[in-house]
Amino acid sequence: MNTLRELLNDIADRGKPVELAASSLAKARRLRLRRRLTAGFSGVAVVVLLMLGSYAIVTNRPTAGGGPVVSPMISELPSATASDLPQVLPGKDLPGGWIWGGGTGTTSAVVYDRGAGGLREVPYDWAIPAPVGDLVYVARQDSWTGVLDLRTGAVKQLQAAGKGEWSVGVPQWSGDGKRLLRADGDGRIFITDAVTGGNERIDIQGCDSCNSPVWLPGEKLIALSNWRNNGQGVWIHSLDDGALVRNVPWHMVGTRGFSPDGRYVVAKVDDRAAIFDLVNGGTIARLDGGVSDTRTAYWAGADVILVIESGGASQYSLQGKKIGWYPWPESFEDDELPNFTLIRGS
Amino acid sequence: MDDSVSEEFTAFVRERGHVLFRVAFSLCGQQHAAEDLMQTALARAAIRWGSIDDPEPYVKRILYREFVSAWRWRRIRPEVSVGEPPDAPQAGDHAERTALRLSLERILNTLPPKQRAVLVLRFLEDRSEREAAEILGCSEGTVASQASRALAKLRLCRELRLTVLEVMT
Repeated sequence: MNTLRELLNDIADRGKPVELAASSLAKARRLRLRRRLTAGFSGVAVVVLLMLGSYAIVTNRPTAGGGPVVSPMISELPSATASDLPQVLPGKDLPGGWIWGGGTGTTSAVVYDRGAGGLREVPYDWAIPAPVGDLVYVARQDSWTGVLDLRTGAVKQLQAAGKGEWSVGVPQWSGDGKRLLRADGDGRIFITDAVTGGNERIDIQGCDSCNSPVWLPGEKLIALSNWRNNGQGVWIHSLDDGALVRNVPWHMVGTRGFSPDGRYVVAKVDDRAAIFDLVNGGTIARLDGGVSDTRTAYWAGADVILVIESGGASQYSLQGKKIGWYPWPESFEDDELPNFTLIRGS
Repeated sequence: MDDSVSEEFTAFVRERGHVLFRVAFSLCGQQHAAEDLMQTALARAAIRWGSIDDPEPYVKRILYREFVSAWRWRRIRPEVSVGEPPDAPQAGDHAERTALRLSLERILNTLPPKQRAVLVLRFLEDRSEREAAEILGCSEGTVASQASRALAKLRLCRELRLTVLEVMT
């Protein structure tokens, strides 16, 4: 009799082990170098800021674990731009007032500090800056999540979403940069006040595996992806009562794919990105070239779309024509920082 | 990292890499994704190599947590199909087992990573609920509920039903 154990062993046997020691050591060296540089510049900044006398710098890292919201916690936020990061802000000329706000990779996170006017590495595994303001959602491997205030360096630990579970999917900031939309993976959605840490729970009807909630423009509706379908399909629910408003078969592209008026969405079908009409379900236009390496899309006006790709951002018209290309600095093409977030420049 | 530590690390990967890769592949189901996951876990371990007492469970823990955590970013990372081509049909019992394995792989690929990780921990590595919870950084109740949900999804597959029922009894 075949058992689940035997079948899982069969699957495990299909992998072909390869020599990874050398490449892992090389990656470890790059990571260590970056951390040392960051730490060195952090020390310089402490001196500068103490001379200015305007800020208090604290150097303990927040502790892990769930539990209730705690008072602002201290952090070891590096307080200077690390020299191994580009000194020129990538994407400063992006259309629609967007600028490069942060990047999260497999092992580190970098954010743009508006106040300091430069990039800085933060000691978390993930960081998502708010579209406006100074708050950054931060998270670590061990499930710790919090909100970092770049202006003060204070970090507030967030309650776990749900029954002690971590939030799943990519949390999304509200347009005003004060609330976070999160999911617990069991059909419960939470709107978290980033300042107080309080959670408002919304029970989503008819979907116990919907995740990665996304605000629609106006923030009365949210869109969800369902992992039962491997991410295929978008479920749009009302925030008032959690009821399903409509369901479309597309695959979401990032968290900002809805047009400002809520009518169109950049999504994928058969791994090809296109602009779809939410009102009648039709396809407006496929994006030039198919853009299989699409990470997320932003609207830079009523009819201009920015699509984040591995080497930069492409600009598309509403007709799907590629009309601009904004390459990232070379350092940002490093595979350690694959996930970019754009924020409002002003 | 000095030369002796690098040699120690390299020797560890040479000796235990195949065991770790079985876990990585079981989690990812794809060769390239498993290599990426394994490299990330090994790099993290290499950074702290001098302070790690028992590297194999340390790296395994990173593998599981990194795999589950990566879900957060899955939707905004390029998804590249790197699956192996399906096996060629075979005769007799072997064909039946191959068909079952393909059915299982298909369903595993639709599970949320945490459920898949729990299945791998419980039924590939034969870990207890307590051990699985410690590795994943969650409660035993969560492990139990995730396993229950995953098995319920496997039961929906007619070909796998007997196999799963056997596990549950």
